Amino acid sequence: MGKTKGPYNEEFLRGSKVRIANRAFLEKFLNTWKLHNKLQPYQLEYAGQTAEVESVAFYHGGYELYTLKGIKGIWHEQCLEGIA
Amino acid sequence: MDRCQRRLADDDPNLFDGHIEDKFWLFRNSGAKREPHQEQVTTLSGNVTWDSIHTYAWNSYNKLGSVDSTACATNGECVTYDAFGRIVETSYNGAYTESWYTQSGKVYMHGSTPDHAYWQSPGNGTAQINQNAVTFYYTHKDWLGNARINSVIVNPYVVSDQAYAPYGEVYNKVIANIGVPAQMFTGLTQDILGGVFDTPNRELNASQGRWLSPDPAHSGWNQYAYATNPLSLVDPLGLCDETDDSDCGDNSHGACCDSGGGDGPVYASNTNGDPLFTFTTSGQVLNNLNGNIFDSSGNYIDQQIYGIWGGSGAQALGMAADLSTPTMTALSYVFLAETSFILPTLAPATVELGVGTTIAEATSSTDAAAELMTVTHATDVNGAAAIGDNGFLHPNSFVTTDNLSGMSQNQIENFLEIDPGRGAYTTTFQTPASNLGPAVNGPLTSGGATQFQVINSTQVGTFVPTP
Repeated sequence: MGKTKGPYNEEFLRGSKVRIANRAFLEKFLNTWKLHNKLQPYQLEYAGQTAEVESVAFYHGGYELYTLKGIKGIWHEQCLEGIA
Repeated sequence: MDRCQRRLADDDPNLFDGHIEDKFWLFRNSGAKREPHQEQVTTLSGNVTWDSIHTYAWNSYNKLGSVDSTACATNGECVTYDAFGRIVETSYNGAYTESWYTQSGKVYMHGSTPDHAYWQSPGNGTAQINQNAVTFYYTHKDWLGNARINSVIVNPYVVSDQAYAPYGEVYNKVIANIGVPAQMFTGLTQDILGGVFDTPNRELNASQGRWLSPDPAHSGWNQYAYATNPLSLVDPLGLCDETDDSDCGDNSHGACCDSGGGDGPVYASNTNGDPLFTFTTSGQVLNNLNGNIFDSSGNYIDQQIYGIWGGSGAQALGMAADLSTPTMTALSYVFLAETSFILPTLAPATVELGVGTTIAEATSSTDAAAELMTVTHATDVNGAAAIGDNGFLHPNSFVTTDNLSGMSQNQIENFLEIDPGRGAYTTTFQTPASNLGPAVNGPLTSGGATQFQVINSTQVGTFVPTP
């Protein structure tokens, strides 16, 4: 959460392009993240894909959560990277 | 002259008046069941004053004034009528019941509290609301309008069934529960005395199969007799004579006799049999029926709404407080179509709506948009500082409606499944329900916390350190 901007400040604005982390990262995240909004196994299939940010939400504690157009699931900010 | 163009007694003193009892004459052609040895006493106008069981007193308008009463409001039952001959009040041993005639049907009131009500319903049935809307029944009628089966409206099941002799005597009545609806014969109710069905003009003694008073026009050979074809004809006004088997087709008796199947005089205004349906409003915000009610097919039905009732206790009080034009108190409301009103802020689980001639249930029916919800957002010291700078939560921020006030920081963090320290501060505040949207990942967290997302940038309260 809050890669560079701290809690409650999203890294990726709505409408911006992002790339989903690679499968290895997602698998690690799947196995290690035990808190809210756990990554679902089906989300691994989207590894490496690019998408547009549809919405940004803020969970308790300031965690930035994203939904992506055309991509199912809720995505933690750690699992995304920006596309220049 | 009456509406059937027959002479009334006062029009011609030479017409029948002042009948002295002639038992043979009285019972001749009078109905299916007779008690040949039963004593009868009548007034000079021919009204029965004693039938060996009950004593009847009549007023100067030949209306039944009391039954078994020597002092009204003290003993027996006494009756008050309006100018249409309808019963508007009865007292039984001092307990009063008022009868209200509404657009939807008849309502019986005890003071300001509805005791029970009859509302016209689809398929010629009648909805019965008993015990201040504690129970809701649907009365299934036969071709004559006799109440043959009563069932509970919500989670339908049969609570009673009964059969009728041709002249209205009830037999083979099976009751599954106490407090089930009263019987109705040809749509007529028993408002004065059990076993006696009331019309605006006369009272039908079902067990004796005849009227308690003669035909007001003194027409026919037996002025106490019910229609001779009671399996096909009904007499909702009490003005038929026994010879009428024509269904008034020749207009010889005006519209006195009617074919069966109607709801009787109170409920006969509209029986077009609209289908029963349930509003598909679950999860929707309904703050004004005029703008938001659709049927299950998506048809806009605002203009058809004319009645509503439902809820109990606090729900009923909420409805009373919030409906803009209630014409009845406590629980049941009647208003004309196109009346604008706001549903209650309290949230009844079920509201029954009268739409056209149908009755439907709305499972989501409150003024939810205006209702203030208490919610909580938890965060860490940095989050509290960041939000506290301007005092607003970002749109789409998660909140919970669960009460976290008694929880420790550790408990909150476990409950919301957040990192240690993220539950160090909480802010609890109120926001309109219309500002709460469903969480993208469902109504509950995986830890079981109830969750919503605020729709707009939302002002929060003070952040408080958790213990």
